Amino acid sequence: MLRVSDLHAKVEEQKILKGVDLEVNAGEVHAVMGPNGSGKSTLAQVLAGREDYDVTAGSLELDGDDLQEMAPEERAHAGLFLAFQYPVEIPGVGNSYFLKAALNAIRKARGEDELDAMDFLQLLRKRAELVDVDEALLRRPVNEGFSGGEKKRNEILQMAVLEPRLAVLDETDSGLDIDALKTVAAGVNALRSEDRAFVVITHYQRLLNYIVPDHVHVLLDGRIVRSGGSELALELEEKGYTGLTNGSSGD
Amino acid sequence: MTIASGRSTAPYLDLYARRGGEPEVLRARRQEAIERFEAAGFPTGRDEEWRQTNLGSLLRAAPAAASRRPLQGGEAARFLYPDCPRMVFVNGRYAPEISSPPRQITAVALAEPGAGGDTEAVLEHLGAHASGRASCSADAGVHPFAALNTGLFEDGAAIVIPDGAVVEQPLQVLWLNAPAAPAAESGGDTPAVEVSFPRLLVIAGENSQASVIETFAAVDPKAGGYFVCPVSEFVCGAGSVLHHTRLQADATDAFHLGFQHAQLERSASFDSSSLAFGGGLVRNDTVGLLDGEGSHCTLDGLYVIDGSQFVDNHMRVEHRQPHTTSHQLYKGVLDGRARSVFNGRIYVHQAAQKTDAKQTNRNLLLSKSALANSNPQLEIFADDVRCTHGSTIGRLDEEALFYLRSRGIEREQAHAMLVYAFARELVEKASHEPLRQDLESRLLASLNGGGPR
Ligand SMILES: Nc1ncnc2c1ncn2[C@@H]1O[C@H](COP(=O)(O)OP(=O)(O)OP(=O)(O)O)[C@@H](O)[C@H]1O
Ligand SMILES: [Mg+2]
Repeated sequence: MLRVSDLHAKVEEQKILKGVDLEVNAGEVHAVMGPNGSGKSTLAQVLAGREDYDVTAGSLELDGDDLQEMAPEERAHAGLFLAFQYPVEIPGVGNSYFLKAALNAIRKARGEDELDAMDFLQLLRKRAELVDVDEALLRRPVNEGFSGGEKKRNEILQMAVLEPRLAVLDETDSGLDIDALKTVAAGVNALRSEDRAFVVITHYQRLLNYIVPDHVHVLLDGRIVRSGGSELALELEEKGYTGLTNGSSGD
Repeated sequence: MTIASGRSTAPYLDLYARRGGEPEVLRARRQEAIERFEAAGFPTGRDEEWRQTNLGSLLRAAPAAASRRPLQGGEAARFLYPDCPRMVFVNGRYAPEISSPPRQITAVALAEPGAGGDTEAVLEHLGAHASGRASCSADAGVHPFAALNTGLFEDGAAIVIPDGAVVEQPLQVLWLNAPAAPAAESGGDTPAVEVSFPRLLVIAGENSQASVIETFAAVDPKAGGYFVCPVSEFVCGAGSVLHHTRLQADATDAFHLGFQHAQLERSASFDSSSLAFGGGLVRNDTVGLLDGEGSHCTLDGLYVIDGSQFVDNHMRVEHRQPHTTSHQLYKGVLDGRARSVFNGRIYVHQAAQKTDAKQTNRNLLLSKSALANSNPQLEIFADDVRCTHGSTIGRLDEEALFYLRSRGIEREQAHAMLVYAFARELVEKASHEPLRQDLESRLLASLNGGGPR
């Protein structure tokens, strides 16, 4: 589904990604871990198509299509979703209005009928219940004044409404209380299916108890230095990243 | 022939000499106004109040009296709110056949003989406020275009709301511009402009409540070549509540230099929204005089401009009595090479203790070459007051744009959503639903017309 090969990217003349390889197949969950500043969010933003991140070498493909040729909205239409590490506050744009515009834009791009207000509201209510988002948040402007945890839940709500094929969750577990963590995991698990895939960026092995990954990757200084099964997360928890690099980084 | 012929007042004095006449009682006031206009002349770049308003293109044009043009069926309809009583003026003259003034209040055309536009109350106020001499603080000077209007208005609307009357439905006053097709007569490179002088006087009786919507529009939005020079005066009696909306949707190359003046007695409340979408060279001077203890005025505005449009809002709010409050919120959306000026002066007199004045001007620039100027001016002579002001000039939030697009929303739509979000509070404060919808669709239309940005 997703194929990232030898990806190099820079921000404001600073090289951040220095050759990332990552292959994600339908039905899989991949976890990406790595120390602060190693480039995890950069990878996520590059996938979503952020324009101020320059891809200097390598390739990104979604279902064989070159992502670099696609605008951010086209990537969303193709089924890509990024839950932001820092969701953006948008004063003046109502949360549910925004979600309806997004869902209908995606449906329209796919040649499906747009949902009318009633049908959308029904869907929204169901999804909000699934990820335990208070209805009051739906009426407020997007993320404005939301608590850290509410913002993260709102990202998951968007994911649940938009039903992407590939969801990249950038530290969606950070700042969540334990109940919220379980809800978010339940939201992800409810969406898990044969033809969907997830890339979960996290610092905490804890999340991976709830969303059990098929593969774990360690991103260090702009490169994936190790990949393994879910046991790798436990090893990291124990040894930390320094232990890991001393031990087994081969290149 | 003098070098300054381009700024000469002569063509306008000529219009005065050839005017159709007026009721006897107005003659002296007109004469006085035109003399004041002549003495002051047109403002120049050296005039502090007009420094940022370049009148060159207007003053190079040769003024002509507005043509008489009967409306074709339906030309006015799209600007009217069907449920509102209305007065329609075409090129500054009353069009009774498409007007339906309300019955419970006096709403008459000034030039209609015997209609009541010459009653004592009307004449007492007409021109007494906007004349640029009476009741303003010493440094206000003469407003030449207000004086010109007083000298030259052909017709206008006088609305008198009786004491205690509560008028539910807003009254709409439509100022429609329909210049004749430009004739070949204006030889050489001197363009001709048809000039009209709309005049509105609203007298709100004690404890009355009413709403007035003024609409300035062009029958053909592409047929510019006209100059509209309106004056609106609001006399707000003790305890009255007056709502006013001023929608300016003139042709994009029209000249629009307006003056509005509100005077408030004890505990009166005046709430005005000025929304500017049209006009090429636009200037609005707004004066709020808080003349009675406990009076309050809200003066809000929105300008959404593109191309080479220029909009200048000059505000002057004077707190003259204790416990008076004023709120100003002006927002601008500028694209293309559009330019705006917001000049907000708050003058707190020594007697006006416990004044609470707030002024905000926010501008959103959508292009590299758009330019917004914002100049707050506070002059405070009382010691126990609260005055705040703030102005911002910013661009669209790129992070927000990316966030919306990452959810599948097309760039254009995401862009429009963010601009709409910025401006919406000024559209949504309109409480009359058809008006609100009209403002909303005008805002959306002006956002979608811009092409790729
Ligand atoms: N706009 C920018 N300008 C300059 N440097 C940037 C910019 N954006 C990111 N960086 C730098 O790129 C590096 C990688 O940042 P990134 O956000 O991808 O890290 P991360 O792995 O997500 O870290 P964290 O775990 O703290 O979220 C950091 O050193 C960061 O300072
Ligand atoms: Mg990060």
